[in-house]
Amino acid sequence: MSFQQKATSAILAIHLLVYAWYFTYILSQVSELGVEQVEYKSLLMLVIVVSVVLVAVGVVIVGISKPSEIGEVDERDHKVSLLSARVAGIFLTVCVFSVLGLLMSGAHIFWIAQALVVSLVFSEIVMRVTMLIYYQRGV
Amino acid sequence: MAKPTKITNTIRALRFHADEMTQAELGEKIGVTRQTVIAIEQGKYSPSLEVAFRIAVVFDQPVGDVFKYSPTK
Repeated sequence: MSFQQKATSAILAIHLLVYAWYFTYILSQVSELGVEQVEYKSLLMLVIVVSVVLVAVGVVIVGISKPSEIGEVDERDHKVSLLSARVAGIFLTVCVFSVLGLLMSGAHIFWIAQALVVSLVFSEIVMRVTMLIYYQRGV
Repeated sequence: MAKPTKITNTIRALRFHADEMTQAELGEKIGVTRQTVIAIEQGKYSPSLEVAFRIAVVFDQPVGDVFKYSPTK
């Protein structure tokens, strides 16, 4: 498994764990307190910062496990990255239109914010999963 | 998702005949990672024309002898 594959796996795992926790927590808060009372802004900022830091740490740990492979990127990595970004872009577009639908239907700002986060996280996860599939099955 | 390539190659055999050159050594010579050499050998990745030529140069063979296109595969 190349450095890029390991890093992609680490990033995927971190995003899944962090945002699964975030959405589980935030939805439990909604059922407990109601949409109006949930303080999500500071938590969301914290989760974003934590995920960025964890991703950085994860990639460093992957690099330490085999330092000779750090930064090794070739044409296959570029192709995998481009194709995966295209797939993720399609998902992001669909998600953005869904958010637009929420906005036009007059949904609460809380749900619009959460839908935006879901869109971004979902497209990132789709990109990472697609990358792993392309690495595994060929491109 | 990804379609299997119709391009086959003889890289593994050529490496064997080149003093059992390792995949890592070949990768270093042609400027790609060992994993990409593995993917090319397994038919999971079709290299760019430039990399194909670099491989041919390493083994001192015409590109057509290293890579074969099999449309019926």
